[in-house]
Amino acid sequence: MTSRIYNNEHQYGGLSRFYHWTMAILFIGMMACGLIMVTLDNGTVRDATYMLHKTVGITILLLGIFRLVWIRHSKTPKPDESLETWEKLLAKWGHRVLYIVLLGMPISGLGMVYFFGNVIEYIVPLNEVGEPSFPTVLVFAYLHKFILPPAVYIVVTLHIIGVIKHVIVDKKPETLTRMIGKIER
Amino acid sequence: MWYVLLSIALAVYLGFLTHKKYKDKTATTCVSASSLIMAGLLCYPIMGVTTGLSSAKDDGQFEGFIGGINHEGLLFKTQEMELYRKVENWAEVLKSKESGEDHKHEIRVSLANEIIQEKAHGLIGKRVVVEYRYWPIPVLTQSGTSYEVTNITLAP
Repeated sequence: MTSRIYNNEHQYGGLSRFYHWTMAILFIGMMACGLIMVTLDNGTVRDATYMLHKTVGITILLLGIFRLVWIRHSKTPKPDESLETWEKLLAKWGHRVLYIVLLGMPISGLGMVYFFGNVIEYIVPLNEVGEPSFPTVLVFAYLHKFILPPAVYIVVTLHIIGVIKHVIVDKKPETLTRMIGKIER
Repeated sequence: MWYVLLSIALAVYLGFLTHKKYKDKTATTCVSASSLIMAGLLCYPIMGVTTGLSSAKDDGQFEGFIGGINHEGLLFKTQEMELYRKVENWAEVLKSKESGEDHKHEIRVSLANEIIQEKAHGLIGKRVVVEYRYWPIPVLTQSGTSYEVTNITLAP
């Protein structure tokens, strides 16, 4: 039996699909936004882009938290039985790393902004400007700009390559269709 | 406030529907919270415009404070919202204020905090133009209403 929001053994439910695709779009958009905004000249466009980056980043963090809650609550579909053991292992750890970077990026970004002495903005400014702490900023900035982004690129690329392999090479479209809601068993 | 009420109403409605159908607290919480988060994100540009316009009608007095490292500027606080105005060239701003002209352009300086604080105090009693930042469309900025700076509170 399939339910509209719950996962079952073969398919992701509506809520999991909502989290997956919404966060994917927002996250990829924010990666592009982050790369572009640092190249902009000072001015209103740059300010608005930073504000957008921060607000959507917090949105991703909040959605990620509820996504984790939902994953714990609604069972995850079983991996395709035809997959090799190493593929299952790679998928399992790939997903774990994905969740770490999905939450790690906005958390490190928030830390960087806060300890830099800036106002955190999520729809409205959330805090008054505090006392900056450069050593702490450096830790968060290093994570946000140098450690986590390569991890994101690698894991997201592997994730997409994996899907393409299953769908095109292995002729197993269920890997994709169970996340777009076409399969029901 | 209508956007906040609308977002909350939508979240409560979807939560109610979820609870009615599944009788599951976790599902209800996840659906309500996620819809509230997304509604908030979608309402954000609407809120920016409406709040900005409503504040623009209020020609009251503002209180500002200085903070940040290389992000210095004035944060004008009202009961409704905070308006942040960066300073590009303090010397030019002070000069234009003294001559009574409105000044619009953006501000960014990289001076030591003590220098910023000293110059900021020079703005007390003068009128400044606040530029609203409308999100997410950067070109929709509005300026023109000038406010008198009544007090400058230094950031801790």
